[in-house]
Amino acid sequence: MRPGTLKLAGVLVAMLCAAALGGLPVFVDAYTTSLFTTALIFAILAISLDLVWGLTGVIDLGHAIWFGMGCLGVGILTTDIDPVTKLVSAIHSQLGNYVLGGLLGLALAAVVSGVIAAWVFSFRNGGSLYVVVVTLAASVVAGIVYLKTGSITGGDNGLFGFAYPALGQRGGYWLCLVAVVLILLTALVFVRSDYGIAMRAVRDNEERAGYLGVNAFAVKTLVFVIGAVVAALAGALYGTVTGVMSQPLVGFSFATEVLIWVAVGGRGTILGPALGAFGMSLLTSYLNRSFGAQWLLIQGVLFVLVVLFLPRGVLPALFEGARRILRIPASTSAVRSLQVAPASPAQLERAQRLVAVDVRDLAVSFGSLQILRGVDIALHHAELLAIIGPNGAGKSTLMAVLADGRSKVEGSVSLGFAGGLRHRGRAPFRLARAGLVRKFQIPELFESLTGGEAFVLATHRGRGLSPWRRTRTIAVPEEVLRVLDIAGVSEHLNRTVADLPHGLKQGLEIALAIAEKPTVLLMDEPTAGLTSHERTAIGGVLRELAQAGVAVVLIEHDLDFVDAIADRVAVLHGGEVVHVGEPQTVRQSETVRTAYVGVAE
Amino acid sequence: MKLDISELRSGYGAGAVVDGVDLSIADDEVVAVVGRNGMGKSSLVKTVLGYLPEVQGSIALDGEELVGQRTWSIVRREIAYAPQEAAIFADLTVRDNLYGGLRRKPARHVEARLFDAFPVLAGRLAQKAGTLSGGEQKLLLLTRCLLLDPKLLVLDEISAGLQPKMVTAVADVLAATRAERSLSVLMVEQNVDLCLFLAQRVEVMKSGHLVAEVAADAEDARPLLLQHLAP
Repeated sequence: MRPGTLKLAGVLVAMLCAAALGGLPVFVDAYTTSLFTTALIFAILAISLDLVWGLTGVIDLGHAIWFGMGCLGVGILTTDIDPVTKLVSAIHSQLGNYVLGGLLGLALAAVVSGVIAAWVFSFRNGGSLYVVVVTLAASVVAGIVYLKTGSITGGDNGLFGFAYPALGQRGGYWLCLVAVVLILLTALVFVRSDYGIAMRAVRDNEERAGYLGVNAFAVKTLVFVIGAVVAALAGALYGTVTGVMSQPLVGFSFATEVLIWVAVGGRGTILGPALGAFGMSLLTSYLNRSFGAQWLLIQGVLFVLVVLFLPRGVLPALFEGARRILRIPASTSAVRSLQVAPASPAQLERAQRLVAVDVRDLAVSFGSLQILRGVDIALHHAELLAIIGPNGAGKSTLMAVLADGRSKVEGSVSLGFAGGLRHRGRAPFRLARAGLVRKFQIPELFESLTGGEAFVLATHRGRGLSPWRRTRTIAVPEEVLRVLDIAGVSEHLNRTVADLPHGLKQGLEIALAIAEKPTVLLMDEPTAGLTSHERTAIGGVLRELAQAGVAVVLIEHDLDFVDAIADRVAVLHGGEVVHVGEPQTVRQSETVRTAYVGVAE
Repeated sequence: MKLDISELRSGYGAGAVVDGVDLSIADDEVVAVVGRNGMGKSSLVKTVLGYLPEVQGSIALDGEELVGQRTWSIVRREIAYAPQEAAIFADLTVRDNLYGGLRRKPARHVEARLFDAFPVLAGRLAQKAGTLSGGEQKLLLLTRCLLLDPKLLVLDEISAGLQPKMVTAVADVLAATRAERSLSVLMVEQNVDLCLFLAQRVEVMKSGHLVAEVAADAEDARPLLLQHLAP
């Protein structure tokens, strides 16, 4: 079956489903309609959590809070509470109250989630643990606060009876159906956009994303707030349509239920969590009647089974099964096709900014271990500086410190002429955006991204990442194409990076670093694992980059190779620069002969 | 220890990466596999170690079939493996990395030889292995393998990232070990000189199978190999 036919079939199925759902309330009773309405709203809630957890990798155990805020906003503005009985005593059912209440809930969710996200994600090296702990605590606190503020929230009794009367059962259902379709489509466009690549990159390897110029803090905070606002929207719909708000809706156990829907449906797929929430909440409603007490247990067992046997969720497993039956090759299923093309001279010029690096009296230590001491070195534009030195001399540490202004060091690192750009305190993504690019010693790219998608990130400097557009062709400097050809990666750009052999990953990393249009290029052993032919060819490309004005720094062990391409060589030994000079002078150095090569020549 | 690979095909679920390999390593023989990137070299050694999900054909170790066995059971047959990625336990000390998996105490002179060759390891036994540099981690891997006193050693690009002096040290240690007792070696390597120094035979791998065999003592071995590796 051809991909085009397949796409058409998919659209047809989706339209049939929408039509069937649209006609449903005409044929079923009011009770069934209300169950389906709730299921639709929960689908929106699951989509919002999938953005945060599935796509960006942030576990939000307090996701129900945002839902509750939306619902509560509507509830508060449409009800009066008797101060004595704490029961709802009057309903104000004008449309304005619903709209205003909904907006109030959305705004509250945006502000609170923004504050929590900005605080939690500002911890360095915190990993995802902080978010889990803080959101867990937040959902417990939210439950308590709800009960203690009975004069506006209704406390134990909650708020009730405030459904918007003009909508009616069917009207409410259709409103929710339209909302689900709109949010589903918007979310799908969003996650397939260039910004979506940044989200997945942050989920896979946050640190590495920083070195491609992605501000992981901003991505996580923004997506967390978007997730909260969409959840609040679902809550506002819930309030408007059902007219019920109670304490469990903000609580921890409801939040975990949403997590289960997302996990069972297939996290990271948007559609999976939506179907998971829709299906499982309907099942819950029906089976609750027949099984009652056992249903929770059944749900738990189901969850365990899915985690054990379908770790990626039900929907991806279904797609995989269908793919096998219809014999569709794996590559055409989900991976977008991306091409790289040479950039115009104007595109090249735009990124040219003058940054050279001046290192003065640099010292680095890890605990009692002194890695670098008294390092003085200047990196010039249009020069290829090779750094050689024994294993453990501190070469990679020097690279790491140069590429991350937040490292704890003594001494100074200044960028640009006369230190025009600040280095200290600047995170790798800021330095990368300023043109200082690092290629890591060990290739370690993003598990779920294709090589092509990584290029979208590497080249986004200066044009940003669009939240709706999908880049199909990426303009890269001509050198990038040559590196891709030399290393043989060109034909593998649409494969997931995790599936590539080590040498191809290495080639891809080199090409990515060059694609960032660096003014300072830090290359940590780029040619390890490449054949001598590939090594020579890549050396030629680096040589040309230097001639074009880039300050290239190269860690390398092959002295013949260094002789052939470097302008200057610095020898690092025991954390100190023991020799700097032209390549010919290096072999005469006593230190190099004894400590590095190990043979007298 | 004798390794016989015949009609081997293996992959990760989407077509064969190793596509019809026949390779025998005699007792006490060193065979190097070279080739361009993405040709299946690492996958070949990973198949021997039982890491690949889809395997057809036969891998016999002293006549015993390895295909179908799990990795943990394969490595109990006195095989030591140094993977390409520095697979160390970063939060354990260097000492625990070296001695943690040993089932019997290594001979005193083997330890001495390794620590003489790689003094950085001897000096940092109590530190976390994660603090070692990339090249030092490769030395840690090799030392761990040799402390196991294996009969078959599988090395995947052990020289990548090593300074010239350490490449020489690695070559010397392996030569000294082999001078003392029988040790078969299967090595994937980009450093042609190291291949020719250690191996008796060099196999060239291309698109999943072996396309040429070069005897290391042949006069034109070096130019011949470089020619095979040229694009």
